[in-house]
Amino acid sequence: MHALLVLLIGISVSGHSGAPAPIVLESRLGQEMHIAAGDTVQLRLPGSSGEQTPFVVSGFYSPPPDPSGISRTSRQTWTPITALEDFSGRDDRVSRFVLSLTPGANADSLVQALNATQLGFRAYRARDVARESSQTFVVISNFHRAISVLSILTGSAFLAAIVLLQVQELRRSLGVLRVIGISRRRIYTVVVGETVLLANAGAAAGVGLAVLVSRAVNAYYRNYFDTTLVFSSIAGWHVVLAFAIASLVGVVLGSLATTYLYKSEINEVLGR
Amino acid sequence: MMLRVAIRNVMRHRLRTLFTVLALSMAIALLADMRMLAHGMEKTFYRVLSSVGYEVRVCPRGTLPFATDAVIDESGRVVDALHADARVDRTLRVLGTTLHVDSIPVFAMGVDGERQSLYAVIAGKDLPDRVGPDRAVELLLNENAMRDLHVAIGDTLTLQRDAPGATLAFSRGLRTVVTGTIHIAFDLPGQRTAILPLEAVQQMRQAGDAASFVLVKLRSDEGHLVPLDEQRSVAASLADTFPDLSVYAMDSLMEALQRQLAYFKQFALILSTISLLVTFLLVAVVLTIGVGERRGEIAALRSMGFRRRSIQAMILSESALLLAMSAVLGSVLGWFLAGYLDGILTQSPSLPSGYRFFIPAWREIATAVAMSGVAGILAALLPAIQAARVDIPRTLHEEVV
Repeated sequence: MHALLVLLIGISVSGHSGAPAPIVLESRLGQEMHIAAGDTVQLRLPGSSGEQTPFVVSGFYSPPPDPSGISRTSRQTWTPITALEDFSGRDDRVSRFVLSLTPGANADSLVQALNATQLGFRAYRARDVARESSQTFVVISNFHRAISVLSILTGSAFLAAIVLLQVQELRRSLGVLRVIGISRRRIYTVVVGETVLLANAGAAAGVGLAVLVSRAVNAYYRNYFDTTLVFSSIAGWHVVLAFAIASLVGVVLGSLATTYLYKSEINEVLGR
Repeated sequence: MMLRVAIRNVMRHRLRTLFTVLALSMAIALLADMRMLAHGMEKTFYRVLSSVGYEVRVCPRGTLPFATDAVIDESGRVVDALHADARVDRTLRVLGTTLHVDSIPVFAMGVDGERQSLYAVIAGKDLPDRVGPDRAVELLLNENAMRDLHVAIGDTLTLQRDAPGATLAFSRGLRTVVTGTIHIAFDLPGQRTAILPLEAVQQMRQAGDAASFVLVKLRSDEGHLVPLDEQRSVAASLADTFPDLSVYAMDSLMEALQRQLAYFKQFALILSTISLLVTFLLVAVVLTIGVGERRGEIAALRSMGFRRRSIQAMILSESALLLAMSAVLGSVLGWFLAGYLDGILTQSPSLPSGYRFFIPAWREIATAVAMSGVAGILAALLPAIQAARVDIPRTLHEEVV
């Protein structure tokens, strides 16, 4: 037995007769319960022990992807509002009105005027509703940002350790360069150039890995939540930021390493 | 002996060691925090469910408590059947709805049942068992409602089914008297909550004998929660009795909520894996380059009679030392970082107050340190083997020339 909760949404249409009311089902519900257009379905309110009400399936639809409904386990259906009133036993009640304004209409002044009527409802602009309902995602986004900063710090410390190892390994060669009179600036350029190159190679590998992980994340979560939502996306500026941070870290660490190298005595550098 | 050599080797390159320890500390801290994230949500859910004090929940089929407007129509019949079961100690019927005081919405819960533990009365007195015919209905409010409605214990309030409007000008409200202040574990931040007798809310909603769900406390010694096996067995037999309803034991309710937590659990798993990988790579790279740098020194030690096993022990000791230093710093960092990350996530508006994503726990930190230790030692094996296999005459010749 299917334990699905069907969320009925009434739509206002005229011409409803005594015959079973039409109902449009979410495509997934049709697939899960093997229902075809023209079939009659019997519905009952959840928890109700009353009689079932017949509806005729007139079609199927796929709701637009909505992050706020990601964990919703219920399925949606649409039916004329009069049929929903009969079914639920609630007369002349709606959850909300959605208004479509004429082009150029001032939405703010309409919202103000509606709220001033004191008719027991509150009017909102669509963008305000979107902003309020996306608060949770803003919080998750902040969490991701904090994790990103930590990852950058960890990566920088990792890179610093590698650069120092690299400089240690190159100490003798760089010492020889110093002895034969190669200028400090040139040595600086070599060390910093190598560090920046190393950091950018890491960034390139990281971006490549990120693209693969992003694809895997999208494939996995789209399948898990049965949605077409995009869970992970890598924009151009993400790539630019990765290389910019890598270059910056490379320059800073390369400079530190050169300074560290120049602080050492030349004989020590040459291992004498 | 080899430990002393290892300490000297690690301390010889202080700056390098510092950065290595920093990177390892952050990896350990992240691993510890991700373990806290993976288990913190479950712990919080379990704590909230336990604090409510009922082991079994009976809901409309396919729904979770308060997840939808769905109700159990003949809840009285369900309660009668529940009380016929000898394992059931007490029940609480709950019907949730939104009522209004003037234009201010209040989340109202009608309750019916003896010795309830859904909420705690922190001031005043609990609801009576029966609603008197001529008396005003008694009402309990949480602190948010008390503050926003500007009322105190003893004041009267009129509750309306809908927000005031022209069409409702003649509708009769429910006259109530505030008798106490309550605390509910799962209230959302800023949520105004009212507790009324079930009968009063049913009348307001014209909902007959409906309830949103029924909470069931099973019979146990000293009123503790019964073991999960027993909960499952009772829930299964209740589910057979009520095929049109969903019956949840505490663990099955947790499972039903898992879907909502899946993202964070998988995020924690991915980051934990990355943290371990970073630890492995960092130790492997640092030690491999270090061994390459000290080939001459290692060859000299071998020529002086140090055995291969001693050289391996020295490299493994270096790894252990780096990890030990990182474990100390990483543990402290992980502890504070957990609080910071928890602060970010708990800003979510749809979260009950007191809900935690990260619960700092030494056990998780100790596990993270142990896991990182294993990764670090595994990473050190290859350079250790490499070091032990140094070709002594050739290396010494190369180093001298």
